[in-house]
Amino acid sequence: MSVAAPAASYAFKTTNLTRSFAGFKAVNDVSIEIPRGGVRTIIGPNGAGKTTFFNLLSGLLPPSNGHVFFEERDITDLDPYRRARLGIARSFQITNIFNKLTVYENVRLAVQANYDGKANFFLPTRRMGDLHARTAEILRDIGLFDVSGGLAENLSHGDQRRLEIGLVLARDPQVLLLDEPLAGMSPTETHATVELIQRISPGRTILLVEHDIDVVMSISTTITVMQTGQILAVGTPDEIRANEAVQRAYLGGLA
Amino acid sequence: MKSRRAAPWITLVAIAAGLILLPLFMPGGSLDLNPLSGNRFPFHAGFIDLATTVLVFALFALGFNMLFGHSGELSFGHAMFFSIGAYAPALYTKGFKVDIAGLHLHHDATNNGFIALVLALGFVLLWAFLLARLIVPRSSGIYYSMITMAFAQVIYFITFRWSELTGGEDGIQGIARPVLPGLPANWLANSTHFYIFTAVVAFVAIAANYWIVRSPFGSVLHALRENRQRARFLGYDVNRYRVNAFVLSALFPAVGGWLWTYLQQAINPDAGGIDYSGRVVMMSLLGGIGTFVGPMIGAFVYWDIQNSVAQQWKYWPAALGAVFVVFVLAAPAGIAGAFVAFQRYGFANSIRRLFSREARLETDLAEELPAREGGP
Ligand SMILES: Nc1ncnc2c1ncn2[C@@H]1O[C@H](COP(=O)(O)OP(=O)(O)O)[C@@H](O)[C@H]1O
Ligand SMILES: [Mg+2]
Repeated sequence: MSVAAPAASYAFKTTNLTRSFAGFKAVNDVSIEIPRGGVRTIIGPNGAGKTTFFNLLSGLLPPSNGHVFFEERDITDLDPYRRARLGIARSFQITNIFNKLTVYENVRLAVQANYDGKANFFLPTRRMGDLHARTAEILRDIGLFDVSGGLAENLSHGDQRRLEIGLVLARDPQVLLLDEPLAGMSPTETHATVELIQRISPGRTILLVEHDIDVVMSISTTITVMQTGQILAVGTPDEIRANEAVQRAYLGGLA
Repeated sequence: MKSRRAAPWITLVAIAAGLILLPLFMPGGSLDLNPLSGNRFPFHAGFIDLATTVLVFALFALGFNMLFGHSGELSFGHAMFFSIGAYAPALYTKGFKVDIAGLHLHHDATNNGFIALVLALGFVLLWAFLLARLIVPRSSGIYYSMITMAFAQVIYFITFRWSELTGGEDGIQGIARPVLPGLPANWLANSTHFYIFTAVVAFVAIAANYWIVRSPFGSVLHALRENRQRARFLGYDVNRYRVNAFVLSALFPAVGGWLWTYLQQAINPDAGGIDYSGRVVMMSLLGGIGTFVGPMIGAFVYWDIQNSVAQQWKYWPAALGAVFVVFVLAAPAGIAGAFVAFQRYGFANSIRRLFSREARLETDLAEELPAREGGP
């Protein structure tokens, strides 16, 4: 179901991207190109600026300086909903779902967003193509089909994290920004979610912030290491493992 | 798997039945619930004009609830739409002569009620749209409530001060009821006939509202109410939805205002005052903002208490206040919300759900999956 690929060499490009909070530069003069396709993982200690970087890419925050490009297009001033329509979908580090709606309604709303602005919104939902079939498909993918009648707020933490991934998948996006999707999951849930990410990755670009170093090493096409708002290194898992600067600064005790 | 949610036609049939039976529940009617009221005869309608009043305010509350109940934004100035919806037909029917900025505006009396309705809806649509475009991108939460209230005051002062056009504090009296095609000229002068007319209009408006809140548009409003940021990142143009919700929600009070003018055959600035804006909030909360019929039930309860207690006790607003406080504390989901919970979870579980997350969890998972049309 993936979208036809436009001719661009990169998914995202940033030039001198900076975001300050009261003088403190959470993201500091970052200029990188993130190639299309693959699982592009971002690692770095807490406070390195990973989430802020995602916020700049997805439009939650305006940059203090610099530009963001998406497939040759300058999207620096684009509203988040327009970025979503371009095919950029994100999850949040702190679970961000519709708590008081059912699991089913959560996913259906995400699928329905594909029809916004196209279909007549006052038509019954049954006229909206495969809305329900697609919703059920995603519920099965994330393993929440059997509990889809309950309220989202009553799901376990791990299930809420999976629902959040479901909301991201529903748009069939070209680019997924997943901010610590595995945080707080049980080993079984982690395993299922990693499999899900691998299964959906062909034909898409996945940006992933993750701390579990085993997962990172096994799943990543490339790893980007951030520290104090800057990019310390970019490379394949093997290159990163062998990188001395990374060893010193971050991986030290971990790898 | 069957959905537990009522099929649309069941709800609409129930509403139609409610509209037919409502007069029997009015003070003096054979189904009057108030033990204090006197004479009852079999199948005797109660105060029929009071039943009409309930419907007028039910439409007002219905519109208000589309905004507050469904999209989660509290307008504290919805009476302005009720007022504009009332004054436009009043002026159109009664005629006017004013001089403004060197222009001499003049319009003769007429009695075409449907052109009056189009004017009421047209003016409200225009004003609500301009206002929403101004307010929505700039405010939310408490500021939104305050700004809507401020603009409602502007409308109030225009109706109050511009005596030449509006009759000022005294308003406009002697407004003729419209003539319906194919019926005798004074057919609507009869209270029962006017109730029938109002009930038919109300049914159409309620059905339209029901259609809207159950549509994909309506479910986006629920998404905005729950988590605006999430909706935005799913790709919804949040402000466009907020503007549309505001405009649509203003049209129902306009229809209510139109009927109000003809019911009373008079109108004064009170229709757009803070008191009216507040009343609709109270009716909606009392009846239950989380449900479709709740605010309409709230309108009924409000007028029933007002009417029965007001005759016995001059401090009747205190009684109303007490009922309101009890509901806000004991049944935050309102009258209709409590019934929905009883029906879905049973009485004991509903009470437990109010207090414990565990109880909510247990009872939630017992629920059935929603119906999936076209699913595997
Ligand atoms: N909205 C904000 N206001 C003020 N400071 C912030 C804000 N968001 C992030 N920061 C600061 O920016 C730094 C980077 O944060 P973040 O991007 O969340 O890091 P990471 O996701 O890598 O742990 C931290 O020091 C954090 O305190
Ligand atoms: Mg973070």
